[in-house]
Amino acid sequence: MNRFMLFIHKTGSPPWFYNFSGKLLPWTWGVFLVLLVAGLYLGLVKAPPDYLQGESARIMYIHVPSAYMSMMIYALMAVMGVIGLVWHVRMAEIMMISSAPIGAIFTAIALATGSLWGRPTWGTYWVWDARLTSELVLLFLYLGVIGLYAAYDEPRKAARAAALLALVGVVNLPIIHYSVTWWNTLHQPPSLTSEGSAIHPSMLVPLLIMVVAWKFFYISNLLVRTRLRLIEQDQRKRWVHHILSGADR
Amino acid sequence: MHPTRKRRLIGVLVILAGVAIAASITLVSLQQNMLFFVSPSDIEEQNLPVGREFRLGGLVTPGSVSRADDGLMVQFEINDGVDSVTVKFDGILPDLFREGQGVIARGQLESHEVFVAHEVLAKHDENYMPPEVADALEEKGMHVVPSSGEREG
Amino acid sequence: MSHTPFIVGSYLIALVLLGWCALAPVLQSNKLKRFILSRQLFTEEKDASDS
Repeated sequence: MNRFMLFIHKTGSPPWFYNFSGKLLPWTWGVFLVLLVAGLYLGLVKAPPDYLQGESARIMYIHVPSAYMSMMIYALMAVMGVIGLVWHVRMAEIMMISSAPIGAIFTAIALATGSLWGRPTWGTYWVWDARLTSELVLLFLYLGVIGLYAAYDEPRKAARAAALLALVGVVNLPIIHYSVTWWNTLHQPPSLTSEGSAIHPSMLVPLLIMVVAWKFFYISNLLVRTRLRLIEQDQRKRWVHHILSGADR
Repeated sequence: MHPTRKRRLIGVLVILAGVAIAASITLVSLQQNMLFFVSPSDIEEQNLPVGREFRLGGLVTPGSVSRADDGLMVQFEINDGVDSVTVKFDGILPDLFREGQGVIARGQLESHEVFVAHEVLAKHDENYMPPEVADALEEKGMHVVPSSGEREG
Repeated sequence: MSHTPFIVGSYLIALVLLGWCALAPVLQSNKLKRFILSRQLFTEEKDASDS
């Protein structure tokens, strides 16, 4: 427990974090790439078409992981925001705002691929049902957090305002998740629940691989963006000059 | 816990609780408007009027699909296991439209029994499986694949 | 209706958006580092000429 607390304490030091993340990155990107290749191969080549939807069901391997990440990242962002709000931990604030654009992009991908999937199956690119509408609201929340942060000059104040918005928007997450159960929607109920899976293994395996791949993309991209912000905010500090003129990683 | 941080944490929880309550109230009161579609039974129960635009959802009754002679107008029945409504539609049906499949039609009641649709969307369930598995389940008598006889579009 | 354009479109959109997501901070980072280094050199030159 002590070693773990020491580790957490160290992450609060920008130069330590910068060095440590630099060593992690090749590995996290590596895992992402391996999982991506495996997932795409299994999903596009080996997996069968769906009995009802045919080939268009292959969009699932992009759409579902992206939708999943859009929500997971928002939850993480809110948690980091709370840590920043209550404990004023600078690293939490930086990682929170670094997560926002990644979450926004996954949300955009979920919406776009969902739309392209809907046209040949449902017969429409879009409907204002509870699931699609609440996911769109999520995108606006992300953009709001990014915009609100940008409106402030002082990073610590910016983080606090953005964290408040992120916190308020958390209520949208259960709405998105339960929208297909609480209300009549065009979008079908969840295929993966705590009770089990409505997806055949041949399709479920590539789907899960892609979900994990997306997680490693998030971790990698988050580290890159966090390092960038650290350099940006600390550009006049000695540790930055030391790192840049010395080993450039 | 440090008193200042405790105060901030309580503040965070209060905000979260406040927003959750506000959202719950909003959603509960908007229930009627959140209804994306009604079922054939709802038409009977709520006495929905002729001429008002709304969405009607249900399953396509097997054997109820027929095309007019000139091929433009199609007619079928939507049921929810209890009641059913006849739907008339003269547009392009989605790929997934077939007997036994879920659909959501948008349009208006022409009369108490007939619904004229401007748009028909197919609704599918959350199951995904290869065609062979679906066929195997069919053979065992478990109805999985909606009758592929009438495949429009 | 062929489903292929929708499938291809979806994968392309994901590729473009994720590619941009991955690339943007790297490009910005390189620009920032170049800027900081150039300013560092300028300060060093200034110190050298001042003394």
